[in-house]
Amino acid sequence: MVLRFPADVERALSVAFQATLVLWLGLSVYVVANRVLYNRRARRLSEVARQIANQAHDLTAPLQRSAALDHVLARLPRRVLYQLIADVSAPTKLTDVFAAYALERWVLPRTLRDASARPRRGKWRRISALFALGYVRAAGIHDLLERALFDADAEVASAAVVILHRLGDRRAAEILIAGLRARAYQPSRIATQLDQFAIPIDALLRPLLADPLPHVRYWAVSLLAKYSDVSFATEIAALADDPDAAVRKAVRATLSAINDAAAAPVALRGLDDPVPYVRATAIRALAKVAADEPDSGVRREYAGRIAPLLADREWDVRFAAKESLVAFGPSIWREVSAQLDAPDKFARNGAAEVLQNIGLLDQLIDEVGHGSDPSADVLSVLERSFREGGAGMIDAAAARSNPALFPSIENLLTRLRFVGVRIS
Amino acid sequence: MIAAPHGVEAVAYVGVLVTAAYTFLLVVYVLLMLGVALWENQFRHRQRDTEDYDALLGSRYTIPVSVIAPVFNEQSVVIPAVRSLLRLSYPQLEVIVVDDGSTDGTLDTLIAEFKLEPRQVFFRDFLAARPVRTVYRSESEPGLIVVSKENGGKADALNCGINFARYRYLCCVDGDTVFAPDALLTTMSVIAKDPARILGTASLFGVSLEPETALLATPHAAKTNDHLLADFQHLDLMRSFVAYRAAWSRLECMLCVSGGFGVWRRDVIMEMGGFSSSFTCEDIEMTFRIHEKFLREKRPYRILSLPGMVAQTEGPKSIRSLISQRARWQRVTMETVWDYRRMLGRQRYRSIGLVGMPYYLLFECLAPLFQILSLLTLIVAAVFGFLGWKVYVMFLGIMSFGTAIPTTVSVMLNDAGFRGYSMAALIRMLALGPLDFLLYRPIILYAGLRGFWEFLRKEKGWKKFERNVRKAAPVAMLLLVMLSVVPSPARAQIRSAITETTNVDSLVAHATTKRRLNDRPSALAIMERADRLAPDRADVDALYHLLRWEVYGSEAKVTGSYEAWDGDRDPWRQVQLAFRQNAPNITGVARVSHATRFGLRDDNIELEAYPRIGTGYAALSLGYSPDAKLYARRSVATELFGVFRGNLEGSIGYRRLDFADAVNVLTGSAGVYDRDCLYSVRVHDVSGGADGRSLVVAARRYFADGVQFAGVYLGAGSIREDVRTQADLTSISSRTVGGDAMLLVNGRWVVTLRAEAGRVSTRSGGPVTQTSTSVGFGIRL
Repeated sequence: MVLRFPADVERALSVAFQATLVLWLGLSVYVVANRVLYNRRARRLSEVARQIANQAHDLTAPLQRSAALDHVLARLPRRVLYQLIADVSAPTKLTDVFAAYALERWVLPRTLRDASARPRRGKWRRISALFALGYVRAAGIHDLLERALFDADAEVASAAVVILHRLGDRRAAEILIAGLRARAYQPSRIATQLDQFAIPIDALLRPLLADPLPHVRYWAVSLLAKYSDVSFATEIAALADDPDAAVRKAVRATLSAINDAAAAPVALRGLDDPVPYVRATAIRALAKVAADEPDSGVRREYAGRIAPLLADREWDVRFAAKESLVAFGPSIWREVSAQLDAPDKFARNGAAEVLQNIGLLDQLIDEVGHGSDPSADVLSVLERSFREGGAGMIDAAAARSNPALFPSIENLLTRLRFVGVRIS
Repeated sequence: MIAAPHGVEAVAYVGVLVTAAYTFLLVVYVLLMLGVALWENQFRHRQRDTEDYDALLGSRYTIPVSVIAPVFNEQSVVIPAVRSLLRLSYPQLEVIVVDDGSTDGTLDTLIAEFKLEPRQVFFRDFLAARPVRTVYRSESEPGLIVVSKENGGKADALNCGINFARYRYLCCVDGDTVFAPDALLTTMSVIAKDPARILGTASLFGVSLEPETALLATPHAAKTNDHLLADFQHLDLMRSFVAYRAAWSRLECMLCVSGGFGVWRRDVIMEMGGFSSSFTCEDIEMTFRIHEKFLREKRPYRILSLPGMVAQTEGPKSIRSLISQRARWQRVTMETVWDYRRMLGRQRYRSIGLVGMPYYLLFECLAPLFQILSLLTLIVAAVFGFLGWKVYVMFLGIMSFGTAIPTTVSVMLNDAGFRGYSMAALIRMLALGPLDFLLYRPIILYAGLRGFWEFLRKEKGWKKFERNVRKAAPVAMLLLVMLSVVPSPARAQIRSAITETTNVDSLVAHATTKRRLNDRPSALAIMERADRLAPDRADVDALYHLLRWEVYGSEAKVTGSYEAWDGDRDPWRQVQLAFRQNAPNITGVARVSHATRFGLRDDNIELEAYPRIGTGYAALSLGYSPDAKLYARRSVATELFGVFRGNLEGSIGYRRLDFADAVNVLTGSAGVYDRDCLYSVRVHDVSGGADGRSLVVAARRYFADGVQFAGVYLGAGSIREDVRTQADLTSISSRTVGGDAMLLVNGRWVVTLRAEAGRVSTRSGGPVTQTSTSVGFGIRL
């Protein structure tokens, strides 16, 4: 037989079979053993966490820790301890103790060497060492973190951003701002941490308003939105006509957020901006200002300025206009219904949609259904809204209404010259 | 051996060579991918550890996302799926559910659950899609939009949803998938690190028969499905995501952002013209299309796959449904690879052309052909004697354990990163690895061949699999139907009535089924709920306490046995002390026996373990007798018990007793439940020391609590069915009739009784009459 396997091939197959079996078995045993070890370690760590939580005094000092706690910590391998230190989700109280212990066990110079190491293979060790040094606020940590922030490796830079945020001091904020300026790392991620910084940093951000780099001005304006101190509002308002569109957008958003007096005029100017997202932001800013405006006349004026933007050529702007007008509530129905006669189709059906969403149509139908005799104005608004909104709007309005009112609604529709419309 | 027809040798020879070459290529590829996957997984785990999710969650700079969930006839799972989307921990998101013309009441369920109101909405019509019927907004959930449209397929529904989306990122999901709360945050945190380049991201999701309950597990205690087919699918996805897709992601040739959970940059999808309805599935084609365009235009980009489990999707429960689903997957893979064949092997398309496409062609598209060729060749070669059966079995063994390696590595990487599963689930997944090749791959092979054929026939249909019936389905379905037709005041009444009463019955029924299927921990969890709902119901209380004992309780028991023969034969006396400890997934028994006969005294110690395995369990036993005067010096026994569909149960086992000669006993049983009665048959085959077979037929009636019973049995054979001492091996025929019973007094005191009479013939003498009685007393703690 040609294919009769020679004995040595059979032996080889037998070896291969045994090898795969042993490999599978070995891997499986490893998985289970690793999990058992993990569970044991997790139990020990929860005991550590319990001890730490129960202690009032500072456990980062060696003499304050119990021998039992040190015993548990001593049994943790360096890799595990480093991993725990760099685990951002772990409670700070716990990571502080781990960090202090790691520094004692592997002495500061070695940790410093880990923290400044550059080879790629050791980047996670470097990150953990940075976390450890950061938790104990070791001398020179800021310089190390600054170097890390500007590192080419995104993970090292990302960790530096997180640790600097945790340090939360002025020097850390300065480094983050320098990183933001130089785009050392994804700017929105740096801004996320600066926006939630432990100490006020408005004094550091304010000079950036005059920075020649547009993205620096943008982030400065944007980040200042969380400060209620309006002393810098004039400087921000001065950037309302900045050559950079992103800055112009941020100015509108920030002024409305801090509710400065300049917010409304700046927002109104933004409605004519050539860049769509600036117009959209200006609309939302104006709606926000209007929400705090007690004078209904002023509110209607603002709505009257926004309503024509229902005809904007950009969908985002039209969407912002619709959403903002709905936020104004039913009081601005006249300003919106004026758009039902606009030459632009978007403006007309956008106005109909807004009138539907502010509840005006439902209210009018309800009143008519209960026997009120509507004025010619009201009938006209209904007629034009249904005309622009189409059959879908009539069906939706009917579906939202009380079925008992269906005959009245059908009469109303006949009166509005929607002949033959049947509601089911 | 069968004589081979002329030419068969040559064909078989070529077949074996092709098989060997294909297997060799596959092994090399898999090993390389596993190496890369190890690296990538470690990187992602460490990246996750150092991520500040709290800051992202509280930030106004976190990128907002539009979640789009197309649904078509998903009535049974749509509510938990949408609820899970609305509960995603994310600063700013909207959920757009697109009902693609469902015919089963999916829309009505959504309307009722979320108090939806119709609105006329003017939306962008950028991407072509079938007409929209109605748009609904929710009173209770302002972030939810439900769009009802005419049926046009998933791609069409997605395009429709994109027309409504307002944010820069789209998260496209399946409507039969339930999501973990941090699904979006963990995915977007990676995208936010490099939004300019990362265009799409996929994440691991698991397969579950009931996804709505699968994500409720406590940390480190997630379970498997306890359903072989579902667990194989779950492992299949885990292997695909954790091993292969992670590696492709690192090598920048990730070729499928699956439709279950994929995040895309909206501008890219718009630039591509939306999802294509020309293909059977839309997800893989979109991924291919983006790769092709961006590589052709030399634009920097990345498409990633992340190893974290973000969701549970509903998987087919029956083989027929699975075949239909997998045939569709095979078909769409072939459609896509065929359509983008220009990328194959071309340097311009970098790792896509050189690594990804060759993989898809060889190990996905052509895999069914190679696999069937291998199988047939090896069978032909074995039948005609070119290949010894021993070699054939070794091949199978190598393939079984070899294909288990990627599964095992995936489980290892997943556990190292997330520690999500309970130890029992982990062991089950590891144990299923080698069975995958023997039990699951043949199904996939058949589905692959069918998909191949459907591709050749240019079929495009979707053939959605029937949704799995939930355990409490009759009640749930009744509730849904009633809620959709009755006016609202009555709805509240029905809802409360069902919650308060029918639900308890349904829970009891559910728990009883779970108990019958040997899933006592789940049954206990269900009964805890039932007990809270109806604390005064005696039957609920009794079942709850019984289950609590079965999961956590223990029992001490003493049993005395006396067996006599007519004539002057010495009786057999035995006293046994046993202690039993139950745990959620295993029961342990320690037993000490002391026996006297022929003036000899002997002791025996036995340790038994009964680990739960799926719907069955294993019985493992080790025994040792220091003096070995009556008992075997060592005894080892193992038996696997399973409970199957149709109230069937069965077992198969082996026992070895080391007397002067080793005695091997093969045993097996089969039984069927008919209401409260169990009818069973058990066979013993004894060899070594003495040879013989015996058969026992038994009927047992259980009483209301499912614990107490009374039964009768008949035994016949050429050897005793219960070999305890070497003397038992001397019998040459045995006929017995007996009865047994168990009583549970006050839920605590256990009494067992057994009486038997029979005729036994031995090698040394004629038939003798034998009678035996056994009485046991125990206490449950």
